[in-house]
Amino acid sequence: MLESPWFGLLLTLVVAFIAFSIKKRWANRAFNPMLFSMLLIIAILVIFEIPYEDYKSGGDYILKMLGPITVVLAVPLYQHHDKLKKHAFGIIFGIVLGALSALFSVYVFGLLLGLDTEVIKALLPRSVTTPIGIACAEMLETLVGITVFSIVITGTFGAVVAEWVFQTFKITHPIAKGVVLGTSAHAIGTGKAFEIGKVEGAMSGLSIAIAGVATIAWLLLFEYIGII
Amino acid sequence: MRNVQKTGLSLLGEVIIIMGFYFFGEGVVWLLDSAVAGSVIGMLALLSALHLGWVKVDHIRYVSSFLLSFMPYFFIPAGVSVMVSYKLLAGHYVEVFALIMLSTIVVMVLTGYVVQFFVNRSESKDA
Repeated sequence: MLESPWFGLLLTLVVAFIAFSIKKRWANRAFNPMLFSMLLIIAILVIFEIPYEDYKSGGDYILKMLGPITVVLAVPLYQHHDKLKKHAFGIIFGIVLGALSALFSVYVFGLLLGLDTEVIKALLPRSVTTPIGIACAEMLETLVGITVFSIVITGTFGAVVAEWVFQTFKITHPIAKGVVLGTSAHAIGTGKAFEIGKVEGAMSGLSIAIAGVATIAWLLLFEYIGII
Repeated sequence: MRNVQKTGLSLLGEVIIIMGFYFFGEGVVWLLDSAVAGSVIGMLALLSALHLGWVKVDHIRYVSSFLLSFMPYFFIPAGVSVMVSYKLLAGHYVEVFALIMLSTIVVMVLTGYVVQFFVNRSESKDA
């Protein structure tokens, strides 16, 4: 029975429902429904000794929805077109620089922490959205599995610390907040951005696409120069 | 009953439009063997269609706002996959987690400052 896709689907829906109810009743910004749900499901699978593959067959259906969700990001983009046009230079410049800082900081921290070059290479595209990250990893001929892992951890961590970062470093403008979330934490960060506000969400969605393209461009440039 | 059918039909129409654009994007990737994800091409196509007036926001209002407001929840299965893929790190757990955390904060602060600086500057110019 557990092998049926209905198991993974139903488990995800039930846990998401619980997370959503907690979020609604408790209204605490620090509570992250995605992190809560993911940990609860892992705990359930581990405690009842259910193989991950049994969960995956249903969970994959939910993941497939990320395609249409990306398409629908066009709607807030269209609605906030005027803001984008007005601040186009600052937004694009910030994202392109942000993408560079992501690559550079992975490289520097990777060396400082003594990681293998192969692992560092796989971690380079960790701040972009999964499909683009996979394309980058294949381009670099590195360990795609580690890339996907680091993308998920980056997005979750970014969404969880975002409000703390905004407060501590006084990032207050809604456009800046949105661009930060999309550039540093891709689509998981964009989910958080929509929780904060509509402008934040729209800017974050837009930043995913630009950051993805910028990361590919930087990597191509580095490869051309011969650094990686 | 009439109402249920009417709502159902219009929601179905919304789903068809959104899925259509997604499928179009995937089709372009398949045809051109492009590195850009099909979903991103679908998004750009929908954006163009909205600007050209071929599609109105009202045509996809309910399904799109549903998908966007529940977006983080669709990542739950990706999060769960970490329980298997962590094994690939083969012992470098602490270093990799530390790297991701430090690097993410660096990116956030830098991007935030740069964007905020330019946005504030162009807004104060107007005032």
